[in-house]
Amino acid sequence: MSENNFNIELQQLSVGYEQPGGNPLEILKAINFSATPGEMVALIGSNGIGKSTLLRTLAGFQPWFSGNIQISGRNLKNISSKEVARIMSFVSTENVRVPNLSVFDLVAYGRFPYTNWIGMLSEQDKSVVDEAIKNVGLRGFENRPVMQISDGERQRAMIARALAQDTPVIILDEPTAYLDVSNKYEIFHLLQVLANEKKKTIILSTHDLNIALREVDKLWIATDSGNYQGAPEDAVLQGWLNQLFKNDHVGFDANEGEFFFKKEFKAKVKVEGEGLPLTWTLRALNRKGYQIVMQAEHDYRVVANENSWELNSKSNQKTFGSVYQLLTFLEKHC
Amino acid sequence: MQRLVFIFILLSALTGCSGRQNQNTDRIKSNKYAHGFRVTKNENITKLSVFNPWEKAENISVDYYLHPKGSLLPDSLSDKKIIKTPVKRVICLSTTHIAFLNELDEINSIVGISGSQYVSNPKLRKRIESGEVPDVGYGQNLNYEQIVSQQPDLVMVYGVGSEVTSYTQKLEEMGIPVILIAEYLEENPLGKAEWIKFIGALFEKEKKANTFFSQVEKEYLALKQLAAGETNQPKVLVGAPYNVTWWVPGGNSYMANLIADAGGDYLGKDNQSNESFAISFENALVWGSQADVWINMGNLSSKKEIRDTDERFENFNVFNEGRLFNNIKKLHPHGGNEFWESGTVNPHLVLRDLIHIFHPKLIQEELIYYSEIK
Amino acid sequence: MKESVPHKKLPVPLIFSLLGILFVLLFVADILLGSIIIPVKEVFHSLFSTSETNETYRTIILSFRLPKALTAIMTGAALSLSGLQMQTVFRNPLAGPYVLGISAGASLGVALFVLGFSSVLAAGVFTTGAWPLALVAWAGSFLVMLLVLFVSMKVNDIMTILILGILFTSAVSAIVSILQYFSNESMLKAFIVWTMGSLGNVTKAQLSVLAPAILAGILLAFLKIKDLNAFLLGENYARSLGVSIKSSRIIIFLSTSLLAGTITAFCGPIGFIGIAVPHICRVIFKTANHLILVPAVILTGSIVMLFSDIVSQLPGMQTTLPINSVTALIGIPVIIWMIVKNKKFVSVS
Repeated sequence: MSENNFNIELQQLSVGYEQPGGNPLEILKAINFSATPGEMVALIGSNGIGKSTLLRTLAGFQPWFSGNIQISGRNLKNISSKEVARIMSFVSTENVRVPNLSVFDLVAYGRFPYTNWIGMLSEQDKSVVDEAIKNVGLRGFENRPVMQISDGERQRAMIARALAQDTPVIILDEPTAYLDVSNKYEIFHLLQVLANEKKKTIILSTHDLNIALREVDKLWIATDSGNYQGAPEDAVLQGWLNQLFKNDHVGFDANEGEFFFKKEFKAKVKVEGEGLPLTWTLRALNRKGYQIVMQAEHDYRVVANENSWELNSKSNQKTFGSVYQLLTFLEKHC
Repeated sequence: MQRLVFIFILLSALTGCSGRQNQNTDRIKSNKYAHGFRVTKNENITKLSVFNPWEKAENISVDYYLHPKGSLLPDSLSDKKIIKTPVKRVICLSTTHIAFLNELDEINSIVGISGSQYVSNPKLRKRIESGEVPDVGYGQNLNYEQIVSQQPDLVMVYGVGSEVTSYTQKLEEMGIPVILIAEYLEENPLGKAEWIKFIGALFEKEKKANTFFSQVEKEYLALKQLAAGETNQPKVLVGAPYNVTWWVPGGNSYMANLIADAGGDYLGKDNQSNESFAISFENALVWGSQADVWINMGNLSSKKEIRDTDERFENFNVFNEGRLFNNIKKLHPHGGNEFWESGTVNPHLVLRDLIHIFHPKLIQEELIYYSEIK
Repeated sequence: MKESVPHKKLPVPLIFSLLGILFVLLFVADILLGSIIIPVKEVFHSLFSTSETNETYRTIILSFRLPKALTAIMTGAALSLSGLQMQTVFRNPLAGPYVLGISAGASLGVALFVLGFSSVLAAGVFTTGAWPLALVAWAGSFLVMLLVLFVSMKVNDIMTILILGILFTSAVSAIVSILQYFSNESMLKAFIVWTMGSLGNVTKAQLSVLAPAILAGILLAFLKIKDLNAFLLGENYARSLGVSIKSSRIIIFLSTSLLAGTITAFCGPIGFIGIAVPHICRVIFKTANHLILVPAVILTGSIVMLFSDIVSQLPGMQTTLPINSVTALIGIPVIIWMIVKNKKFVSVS
């Protein structure tokens, strides 16, 4: 269980679904991705591109059509499912609803590959389960029935199950989908600790790009026009992220490290001020579609102070007590 | 051994056995008319043999050995099916058996019956109503406890198919002697009645049985001779639809033979089988337009009832211009019909009824089993 | 799966003890009660003493009631266990032992036999004795099982297998209907009486075949307890935990076929027990763990069947009821009560 030299290599892989009467429907083609122990990898791509398909194929649920999946040099096809269960654990998007099942029992499923033929848990098994429950922040929930907890709690329980399986590789399909912001960060942090300290290989798919960009070691990016892998910063600098969006309304702001909606600019505004008032006033004006200019000709000049905003136009000057009031005025008069 | 070879059955099912020979030539001829049994005597041991005692049986024979009560059982019989005679307590699983017992004066030996509501014999009905004779159930649902507690010397069963052996084996396992009676498979009316010899042996009343049968035979043959003299044979339609299917007797069946012996021309006589077969309504219509006489239309007792069943019967020529007779004269309100009880053992009386229907001038006596339908 | 600290539920050993007591009581009652009223003293004499005792009573007790009670126990256990397995594998609370078409296959075999087509199956030497009926029924269900196993090796999706099983059942029932249509009244009645089920026709010799088959089926089920638990999460998760789905399914289907097919062969199709008893156990034990549920349904199934048998004998009366009607009449109100009272515990997933 602690052999941690599991390299994952996807070579010229193409995945998809079998179709009746011959040719398979290939969803992703010619994928060349890899992951090494201790790496946390985020698989990103637009909806429907095939992220789930790829992860499920990697986990051994679906056959693939050409290319190779190698785990430490061994072809995945040649590894029995019992052995795979000790190498990789998987968290899917499926909602598991089993009556009379407690959270403890659900997490305890993770010990399945290690228990005897009846499935009795040893003392060590039980402590692994307890640890996993604690790590996802569900301590105290052990006896609650799985059907009676929230979707987010259930998702964390499923993640705990994967943790309890104690595998060198953990694959997660949108593990933060149902979680609130604080829990999203908790999970990302937890996975990162597992990667860094326990040298596990973590591969997850997510739409929470902002968090991913900051936290993961590597990105696997799947787009219509090609597949890329590299550090998040590589993705930004090489402009790969822009390829994620097909429409022209969204772009990635390399400076801010965020995605934004491209808009038609309504007016040019110059902003003065410092610290937080400046930063957030800029964001507000940006959000509403005003182009921020520094030197060029401007239609308005805004001075952002601690608790008041001055708006100076060619014809007059006004003062407002909140960003909201400033914006409302600009909307009316622009 | 049997337990291991279900694969054999599997293979048989898959390959499908073919080659059902003409059953008539396969039958073992014994006695004068009946082919389903034989009584043989060998050094004071009487053996009763039953052949092919259920429909579509082939090459099946079962032997029973009679062993008089009180005497020592010979070694040669130690592993055979034994019936201790004379039988004093008997359970009948068919009401037809009652008729045989009636002629042998053995109604009081009956200690259990299946289908008690269909019994016509008044003496037996009284014993049933008093609780002396319980109803022991049917088929897979036989009331074994009831049967055992009646302490019968014998249970008389009849089998529709070979599944009957599943409960005969259970009875035998419980130490109760069982015998298969297959008179209903005889297509010759005299052959049916001849089974009285078989049953008579069980009660040590062979002489009585033989005397009775000789008399029946004599009268039957005389009547047959009488009818044979008539050249004008009326065309006969038999049956009525059961739900949508119209079942008619086969050309070589009990009913068909009776009709032929009575000087009637059964419209279905070309069919070779001795079992019933189904015909379409159109076919029945054609026959209905040809027939002079229509008999055995189930439980219908008036022309109005017939019309109510299906108004298309009005298109039957025989309905409008022919004569209609149904064997319900001795049909009791509780469902039992003596036609199938005493009628079985007294085929000469049924024959006489039919001759009365086909050639009224020949017979003076009243109809016993048949009523005219108006 | 560790059994969590129980809250709002009785401890498992206590429930098992209570059920065990109930089992013994009903077993004794089934032997004491029947069509004929036999004094209790006589019953014990027949069972335990070799001295002279009323032969009639002894025959009834030893050759009829005792084998029947044992048959009832095995029937209840086998049908309930196969129902549990089917509900788990198909993740469907309405699944039962016959969902793969096993009972339909048996009916087809019996129909061919009873309704006068036995020449199709003829092998002269086997057409006598109590075995042919059981053998053709078993052969029929065995054939269907082979078909299902073949399909489940080629097909991945469990829902497809379920639908195919239902289609097999319908197809076979249609063929049986045709056979019935062309048979005469007495054959029809014989067949219909078979379909009503009966526990009392099993001979001691047949018991000696019935018992090992049922035990084999139970053993296979025990071997698969861990996999059955994993199936509750769905086949993808089960696979990710290391369960070999295809081989697991095959063993479970084999177990079901042995259990349900054998019972149907000897006793006719007995309905409702297989669906109801697993739900009853889930509610009583409030667990999803098959380590508890497997022995639970075996015990509870036996209890329900013994009770049904006692009722169908209508103690002291001449007539008896067909066992199928009794299991339905008892089972349906119970399951309705369970659903109404415990909505959330009845579904499987």
